[in-house]
Amino acid sequence: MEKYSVIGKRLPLIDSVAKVTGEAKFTDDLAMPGMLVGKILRSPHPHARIVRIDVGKALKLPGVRAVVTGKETPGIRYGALDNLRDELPLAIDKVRYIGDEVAAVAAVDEEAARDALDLIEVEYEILPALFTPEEAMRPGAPRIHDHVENNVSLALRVPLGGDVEAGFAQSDFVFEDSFETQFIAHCPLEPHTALATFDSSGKIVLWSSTQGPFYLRRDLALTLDVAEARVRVIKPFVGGGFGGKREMLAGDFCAALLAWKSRQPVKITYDREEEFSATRRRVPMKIYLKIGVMKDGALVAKHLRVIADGGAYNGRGPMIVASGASQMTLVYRFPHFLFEGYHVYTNNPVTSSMRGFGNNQIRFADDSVMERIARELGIDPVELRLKNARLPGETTLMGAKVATCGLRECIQKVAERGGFYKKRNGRATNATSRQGSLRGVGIASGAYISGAKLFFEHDSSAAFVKVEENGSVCLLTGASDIGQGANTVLAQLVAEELGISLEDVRVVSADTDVTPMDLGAYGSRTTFVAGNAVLAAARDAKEQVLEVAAEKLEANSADLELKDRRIYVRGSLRKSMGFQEAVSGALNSPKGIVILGRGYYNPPTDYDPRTRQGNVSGAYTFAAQSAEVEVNPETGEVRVLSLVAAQDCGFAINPMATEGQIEGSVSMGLGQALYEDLETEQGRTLNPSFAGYRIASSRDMPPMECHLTQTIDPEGPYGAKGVGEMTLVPTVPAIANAIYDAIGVQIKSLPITPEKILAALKERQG
Amino acid sequence: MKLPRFEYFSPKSLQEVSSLLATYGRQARVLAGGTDLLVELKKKASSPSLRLGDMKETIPRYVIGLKGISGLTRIEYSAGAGLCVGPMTTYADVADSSIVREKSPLLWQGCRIFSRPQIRSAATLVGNLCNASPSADIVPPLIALGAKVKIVSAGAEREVMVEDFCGGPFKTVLKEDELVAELNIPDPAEPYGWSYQRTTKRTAEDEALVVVAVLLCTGYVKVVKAILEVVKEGHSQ
Repeated sequence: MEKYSVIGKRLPLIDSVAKVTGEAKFTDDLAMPGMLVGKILRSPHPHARIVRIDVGKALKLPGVRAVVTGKETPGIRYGALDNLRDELPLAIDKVRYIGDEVAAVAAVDEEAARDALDLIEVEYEILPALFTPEEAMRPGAPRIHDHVENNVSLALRVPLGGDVEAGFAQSDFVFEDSFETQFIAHCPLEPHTALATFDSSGKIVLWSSTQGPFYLRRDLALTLDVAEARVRVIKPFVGGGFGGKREMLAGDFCAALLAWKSRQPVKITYDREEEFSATRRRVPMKIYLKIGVMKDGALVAKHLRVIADGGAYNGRGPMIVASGASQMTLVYRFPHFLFEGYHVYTNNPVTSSMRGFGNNQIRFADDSVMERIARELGIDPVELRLKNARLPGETTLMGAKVATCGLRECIQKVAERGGFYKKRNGRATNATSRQGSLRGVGIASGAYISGAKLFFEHDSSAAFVKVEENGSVCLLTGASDIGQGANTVLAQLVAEELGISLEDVRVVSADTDVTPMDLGAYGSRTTFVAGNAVLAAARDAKEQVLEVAAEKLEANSADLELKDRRIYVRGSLRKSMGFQEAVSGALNSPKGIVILGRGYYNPPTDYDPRTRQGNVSGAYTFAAQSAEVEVNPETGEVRVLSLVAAQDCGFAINPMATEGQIEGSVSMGLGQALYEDLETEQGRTLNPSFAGYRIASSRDMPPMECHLTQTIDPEGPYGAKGVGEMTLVPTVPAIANAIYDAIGVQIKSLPITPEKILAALKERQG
Repeated sequence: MKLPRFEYFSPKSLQEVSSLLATYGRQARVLAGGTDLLVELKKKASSPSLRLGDMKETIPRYVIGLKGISGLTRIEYSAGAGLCVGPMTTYADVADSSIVREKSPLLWQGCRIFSRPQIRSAATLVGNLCNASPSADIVPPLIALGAKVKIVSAGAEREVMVEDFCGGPFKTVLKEDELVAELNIPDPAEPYGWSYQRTTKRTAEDEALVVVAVLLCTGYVKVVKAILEVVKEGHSQ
């Protein structure tokens, strides 16, 4: 008999029919009587002082109902942590990037709102602007934020595990290299949208395409200077976030402010140009990496130095720099580490959270140097990684306690299924495929957290399980389904725990006035943290159900089990009753018992943000990927022929959804490795459209295999760990290493374009 | 993104188009398939602060559509004169034409693999040529084949080689009141060979990075290469 009835099964997402039929309502699908259209006026200058704003003409335009500028706002800055708050939702004195928000308009239709923007007169005093971290860090460089000297908003120097210099001294070989990553856009299909209303009591209701309504409520209340209790945030269906909908953006704030001013509902939907040029983007990093290694391939010491282009405001940037470095110590074992990180303000658009949170950039550098070590020391690249791979039960240099780890299995799996040995040997005999093209294979690894206490003292999530008289269950969770399938996975957990069917569970989620709290969909925390919370609530409900059933069945509740919508007495097939019968019977009695389960979960971790050490997450997830590529030496074109991914997910509650995460990641990683680059010149985005900014299309996708390694983590819900970000982390270095294998030259900056490949091949030929 | 406000004309003859052009000059634009023009108009009307440069000044106030004029989608062939293509003939029309396939396989191949079906059934060869976008993949084959355009204006008519027609990205020799009434592709001297190659950043539906068209006649080779950013032409005898 199978162990589980609902979890571990390949079940379609519970909202898939609503999405496929178009029935699902996203924020922009919502409309209200008297609703106005809001538009934002953005700075055309990368760095300027606002001398004067005149909205008189705009207000006189027929159809315009309200215009707001920064002067009318409370002027409260917001950000990830108290010490990182540097951003105003509407600029008051100064603009710091092209796209910085200056004013907003609400009008009866889009045309009037757009025309009104053109009528707002803004006088700017242009200030010298800085576009690279290097020029921004130079002594005497103009300050982008008055309180930050040399524009360095975070400088870190973290030595760990002894003495890195001694480590290099005792190493047989030392490798040193520099890498560079690019600006990347999140490209959710649904752009940022916010719809705000005010009721007569002065309460704000905001529907927003957000990854975390509770987080958004905090920032909205803070910046509007109103009590949190007067703000309700609702997350409707969300069409993808990838980290870009984690933070409050000006659209949320301006919709609320305009609604207050006009006393009418206001909706602001960003257009694609705004999405590309004026929302958040991935943090580009210049990465210097020095690795000391013994001749047998054992890693001894690493010195990592990262200079990150933070753009005009912090966003989550400083934490991204720290996170990428700390998680570097998770993947491979080594005893000495020195990390230096700089998060630097520039007058580029803001860089912040994106799927992988700094790890993608660092892993590109780290697994690229690993590849060079393998090649130059004549060690098999798979063996080199296996030799150094993290093992379960270990504590990392940072203090992460790794309970379960399937990294070795993942590496072996992708090497074997990717035909790694065979292809490598084939290449050694200088076999080339058709038309003289060059083939290569590459491998890379990654590791990631399952939630972390980085933004608050806690990392909590809570849930209610409301059991109805009719035998169905309503799950109330604060967790945010943003397309990744959170609602389905959480419902599966409830159904499994209560022994009922998936269709018996309805999910109401992510509404700050209705559901209990959750911090949001980030840090790969939802399945692990919210899953544990939901499980706790389901177990609470279960206990109550069993208690009422025990009385009816004249048994001890500890001897009862729930399965197939029935409650059985263990060992006695004849004594049983229906789940609905038990629940209904309990209510329809003089006691009138109502079953309400409640629970919350906060990971038992002990990370200290001051020392940046300790166990940061409740569980750690691992992965490896291998890629095979074909490079055309005439044109520099790269075709990824196949990709194999192996993921230690702890336990796959819904393997189909887990594979969906992997497949989506590979398409993202493919774009980031080969095509995607927000070309930015003097702070201006040159390709703000899907025609100019090329993501991987369905035709670029290679045939791929997903393998799930199930390590059953003792802390995870039924053993599950987070996968949302981990799946993307190894893709770029796996493809980069395959290209290196194919052409014999390492391209150290992303994306790896045909131009860079041709230039490298030319240089090699001399 | 939405379109800016403009006045739309639907003339019934090319003469009428010429006189409208003569009246409105640079403030008017001719609409054929619209695959370039409509995108450009939307871009110019989009978020004022985010768009490149100050394009507001150049938003045309008049758009002259050619749809209402009959006979502009023609593809005709006669021995000696070669192929004649009308100003509203689309890439799909050419790709579906058995006469082009037989008489001018180089042109046919260029039209067949250009962009994707939706664009091919809207975009016109002449419209593409007149916009002189570096992504107009059809220009190199036309140059290789020695194609000519017939240019008309209110009072005159002239012929220009395609080779001399495009003066750089988004630049042509067309004067304010002129439009292209016909594209003529002469028969190459028999026997001949040809090749058409196209490279994109990603997949076929993307804009081309490089397009190369080769026409090889007895004792004569013409190679035309177009690179996305800069249109370059090379000949060798």
